[in-house]
Amino acid sequence: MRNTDVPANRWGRAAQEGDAEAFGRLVLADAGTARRVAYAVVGNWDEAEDVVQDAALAAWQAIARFDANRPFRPWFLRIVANAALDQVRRRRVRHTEPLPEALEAPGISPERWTDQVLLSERVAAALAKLAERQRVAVMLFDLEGYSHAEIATILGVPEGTVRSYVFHARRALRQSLGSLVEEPT
Amino acid sequence: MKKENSFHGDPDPRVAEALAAHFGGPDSGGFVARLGTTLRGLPARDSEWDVLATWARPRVVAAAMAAGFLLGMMMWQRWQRPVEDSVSPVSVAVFDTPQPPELNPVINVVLEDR
Repeated sequence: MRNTDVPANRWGRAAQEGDAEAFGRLVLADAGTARRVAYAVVGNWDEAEDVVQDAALAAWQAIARFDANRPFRPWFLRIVANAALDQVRRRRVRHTEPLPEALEAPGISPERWTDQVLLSERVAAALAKLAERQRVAVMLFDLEGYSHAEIATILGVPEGTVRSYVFHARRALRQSLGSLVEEPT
Repeated sequence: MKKENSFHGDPDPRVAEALAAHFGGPDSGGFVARLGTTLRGLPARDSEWDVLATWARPRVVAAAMAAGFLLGMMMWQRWQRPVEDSVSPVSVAVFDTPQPPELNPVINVVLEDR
């Protein structure tokens, strides 16, 4: 899922110098991952999309602090993760609960769709028991293919902490999924 | 009983499949289009000098007020104690002798010991 074809350094330098088009290209290249990171934290797609929009604007205002010698993606995803965590904190202050997502059937067979919905519900229940950073860590590691070091940069925690997050999140997921997902050999 | 992956495990395809089902979510095309619209209309970015200026203005005023207050305090203290400030810190005692000392009694004492 990772987009590795982006000439990030060139666009990163241009964006840092105030090139809005280059900045837009960088953000759009990572929009899917950013949306999933935000969703892993806030648990609601609409809210996650708002978080990414806000994070993109915040990143644009802070682009002068971006080090163009480093990759743009971890820097941007860190802003997204922090924005999502802030959103959850604000929600906790307001004492409201996230609304359940309405699932829409894509163009696949009803049996396959039922399996996916069931699987998604099990995963949602398992993820709901995890801390926000654990959800982001396991999603980035197992779904997006990020390394522990990259996730550590995004979450602003030590690499060992990320390993712990992933380990415990996987264990919780496997326990909750039960027969739907076979245990690894 | 089967083992689960260790701390140093590679991405787990079974967990990845489960996560993919969950994180697939609704169609992201609309979101990307909306985000693209937002990015095309990005607001003008504040320059570093603008940021510095908004940060500096109130602090410069506060620093100037603090410096003025300290200067006023120092001048007020100086004005309160003008006499003490003009007195020399070293005391000098001057002994005036109305007449030169007489040497005869001293000489007599020395000679008596012999």
